[in-house]
Amino acid sequence: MALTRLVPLVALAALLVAMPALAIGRFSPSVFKFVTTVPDDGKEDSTGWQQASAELNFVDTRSVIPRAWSCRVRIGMPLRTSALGRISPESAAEMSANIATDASGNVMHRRPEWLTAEFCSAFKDEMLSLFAGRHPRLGARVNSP
Amino acid sequence: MTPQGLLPVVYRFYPRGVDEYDPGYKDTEQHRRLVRARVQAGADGNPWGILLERIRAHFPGAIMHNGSTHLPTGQMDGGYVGWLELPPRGWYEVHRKIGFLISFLAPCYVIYGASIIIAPTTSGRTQELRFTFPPDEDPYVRTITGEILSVFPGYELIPPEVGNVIVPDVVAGNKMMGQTTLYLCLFTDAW
Repeated sequence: MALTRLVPLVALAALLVAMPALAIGRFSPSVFKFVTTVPDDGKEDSTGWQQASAELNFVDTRSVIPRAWSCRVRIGMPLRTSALGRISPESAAEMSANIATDASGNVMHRRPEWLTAEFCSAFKDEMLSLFAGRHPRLGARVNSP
Repeated sequence: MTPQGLLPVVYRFYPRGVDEYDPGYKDTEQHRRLVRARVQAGADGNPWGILLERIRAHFPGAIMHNGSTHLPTGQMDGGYVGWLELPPRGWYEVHRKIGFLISFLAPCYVIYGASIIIAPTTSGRTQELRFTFPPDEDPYVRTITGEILSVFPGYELIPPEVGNVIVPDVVAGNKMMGQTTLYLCLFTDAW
């Protein structure tokens, strides 16, 4: 009986050690390293583009043996918008980490279990939706790298 | 424009039966063609910049967003994305805009209204999309439509009954195969 209880805990501990960008707790902003891909052209509207690609790891602990998988995502947003001004890479990373964390929780609980491809698709869609809802003037985008 | 008429266009830019996770997806002739179309659409002197300037001239002081600054990277979308912000109509509305999308894959466009409204969802907010417009949005819609047809003559409006038709054998945006629509293929998933 004790062994039965121990197995998932050991598995979870191993996963926690192996996966620094785990969705248990919160994703760290340091996971999202934004780089400029289109420079600011100085025009009036939104301008420039910055993006970060990351492999995000997930663990579903709702079953006896926790299941782990990862999704590759690319998050992009302008360098500057007429409504918000300049968006620093640090600010972009902070917003991305918060949105990714919340999207993970929202999507995970929609089904008792997930196929990886379906989860990743729904996760990216949820991130896009949360960005639109929380930061409607930002114009952030989420897709696959 | 009918769904049957638009499908051949979609299939020129999206490989049939190939998921974006499949190895080789990015090497398909269709995907390479789509990337080239995006880069070309984002190149200097494109008509999108002219359209934005003309719309801005009609509404000085209004906040306008160019959602296509990423196009030189060759990533995302089959159309230009822009919107004009309007003031929220009440406490329940967090954000309101008139959005306009111009495809660079086919001669078509969309104008829509959208609001972020307070709602009992996990995020506390949801997006409402409109393809018919209340009287206070009509002047914006008429002006933007006029400028679209001036810069992109001959382009046709794609109504939701056409745009929301599923294209079952391609992927676009973040949708799985079987969930992708004509709107997603020809324009964007960022509404």
